[in-house]
Amino acid sequence: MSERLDRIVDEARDHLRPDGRGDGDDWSRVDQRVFERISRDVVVAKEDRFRVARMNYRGSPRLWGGLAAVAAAAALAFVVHGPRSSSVAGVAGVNDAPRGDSTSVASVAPIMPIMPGAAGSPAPASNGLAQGSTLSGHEGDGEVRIAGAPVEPGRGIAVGDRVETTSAHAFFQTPRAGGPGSVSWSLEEQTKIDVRRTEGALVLALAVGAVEAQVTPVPNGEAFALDVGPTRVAVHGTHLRVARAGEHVTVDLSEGVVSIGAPPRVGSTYGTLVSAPAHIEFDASSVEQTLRVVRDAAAVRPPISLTPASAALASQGATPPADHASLAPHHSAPPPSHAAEPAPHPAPAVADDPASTVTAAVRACAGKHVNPADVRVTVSSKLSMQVGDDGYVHAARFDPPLAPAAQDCAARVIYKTRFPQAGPVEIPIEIAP
Amino acid sequence: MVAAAVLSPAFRDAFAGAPVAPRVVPLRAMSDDDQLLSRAVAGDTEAFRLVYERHRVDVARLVYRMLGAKSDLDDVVQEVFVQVYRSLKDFRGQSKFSTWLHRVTVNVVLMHRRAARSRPAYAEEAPSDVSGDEDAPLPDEEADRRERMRAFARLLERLPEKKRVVFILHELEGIAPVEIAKIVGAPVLTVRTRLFYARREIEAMLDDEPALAALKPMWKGDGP
Repeated sequence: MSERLDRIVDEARDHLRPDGRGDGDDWSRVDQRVFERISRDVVVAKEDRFRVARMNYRGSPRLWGGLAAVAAAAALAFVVHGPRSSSVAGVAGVNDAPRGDSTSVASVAPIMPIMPGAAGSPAPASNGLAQGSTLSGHEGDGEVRIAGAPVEPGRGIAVGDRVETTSAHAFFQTPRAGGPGSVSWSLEEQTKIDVRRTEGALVLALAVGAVEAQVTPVPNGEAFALDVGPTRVAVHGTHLRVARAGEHVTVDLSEGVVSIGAPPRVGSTYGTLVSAPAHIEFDASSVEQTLRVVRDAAAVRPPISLTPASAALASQGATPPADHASLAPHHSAPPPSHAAEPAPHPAPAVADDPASTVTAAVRACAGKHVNPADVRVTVSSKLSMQVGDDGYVHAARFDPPLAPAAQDCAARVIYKTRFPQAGPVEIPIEIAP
Repeated sequence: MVAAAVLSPAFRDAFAGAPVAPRVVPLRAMSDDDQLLSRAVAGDTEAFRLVYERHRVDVARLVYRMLGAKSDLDDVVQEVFVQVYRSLKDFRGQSKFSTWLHRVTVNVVLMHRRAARSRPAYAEEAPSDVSGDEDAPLPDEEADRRERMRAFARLLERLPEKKRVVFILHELEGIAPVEIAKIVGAPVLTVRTRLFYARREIEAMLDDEPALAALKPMWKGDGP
């Protein structure tokens, strides 16, 4: 080997190493993800064994019940100890699909094939909860309808109900508010959902609009799941908002962990685990190919209070607290119709020229994240955005994609820019060196 | 001051057929690995954690060198250890654990690269970070070194896949061709041939990278 190559190789041996991935560096994020996935494997293996057992003892439901109890106990008992890793109990994935092999793409756990017929009402991992919800209040001029009829607070929901809002923001609460597995959830304006399951876990199917939910963590299984087309967003304990516009889905995860994948025939959703904070986008019909996660708190829509302002006021007496504005949604809710209610959170003004603002931000981010040693070429990309009724961007996509770091950087501006009109917006952007 | 130029006899020997002693111990000595592995195979996740903590730095370094970018590093390292966990029961101890671990790592990285090739990208991210020195070089020296490493990574990226793998495993990781043959599943002679041609191709490409070509006069002139 030439002297020059020898020297370069010697230098590379010592210095071609990743920063932050040596001894003494913080590995906690990798540790957590590795052992979350491994714990899921352990539970899958146990479920497989129990499935075999069930086949062998199909005529003995009592025995099967006992085995299931042992499985649950085993899942709970699987706790990985370590100085920088958290417990992974309860983040269980169960899937009948083949387990991932060496060909699976990193960071994306195997996702079951989409089975439209199976997506009707698959049972999430049972946690013994009864999750029938009650309408606790609504805000806005419009109506909340269940099965086509306007309803008032106190009305419960049942499996098969279609719940829809017009120009109103509806708030629901499952029993045992604040207890493990309790769910506070809300429907934004112009939202339609179908109630698919209320026993074991609350499962809703989002047809259009947006659902925001806060779920008190359960020790095992899933307390809440939202089906969006053939894809399920399953929740162990979290605060999240899921919005659907056609097939495009955005999830803003401000707390906890969700699993995104196809609904399982039984057990927990075996999909991609995403932890907060994260802004997630995907197409419901092809989540595996389109899933994009922005792990940046700045890109996540701020969570709203899931207590209706009127209910909060009633519980606190007639005089609203000084900081009552925090009870109002930060975005999307229209001004309350009566004077006693708090003023809505002041929304940022519509940008003078939002398209230019976004374009400039994208160019700045692309310029900042390009390697100076790269060959300079002019790149054209089309930024397609879906602007919601509140003027905020609900979904954004670059075609072709930019470098991940540049996209993440641009997302911080895109999701904070307010547009004057709702609907799709497309901005062709040319990025020159 | 430029340090003395060091020839690489091991590299020449690699093709000449002489036995090559690894200059770098790629994975740490594993005196009690067997015991830990036995416990891990039996389902002891704490034992697997110890195995993981023992080898994660080495795996991350190899993944980084093979990926040519850091953006997916953590994801791929994660995938490697998940695959290791899933496949532990198939590890019979017929080869060294380090060899087996390298094989899993190489396979996961190659699969990841193939999957990534189908995704369009604005710009291929070259390694933008290299480890620091305890000697804390001057900023200019540090900047030059980083640029050399980026340039070298680009050269590696241009090598055909099979040659790149054996070059990295041998030249950077210090693994003997006999072990590399087990890792990549090819005869030892094939490994040596790939090493020879990899080296020749990289040498031919050196002048394409200004950061490396610019060093030529200095290195030629500044002997020890």
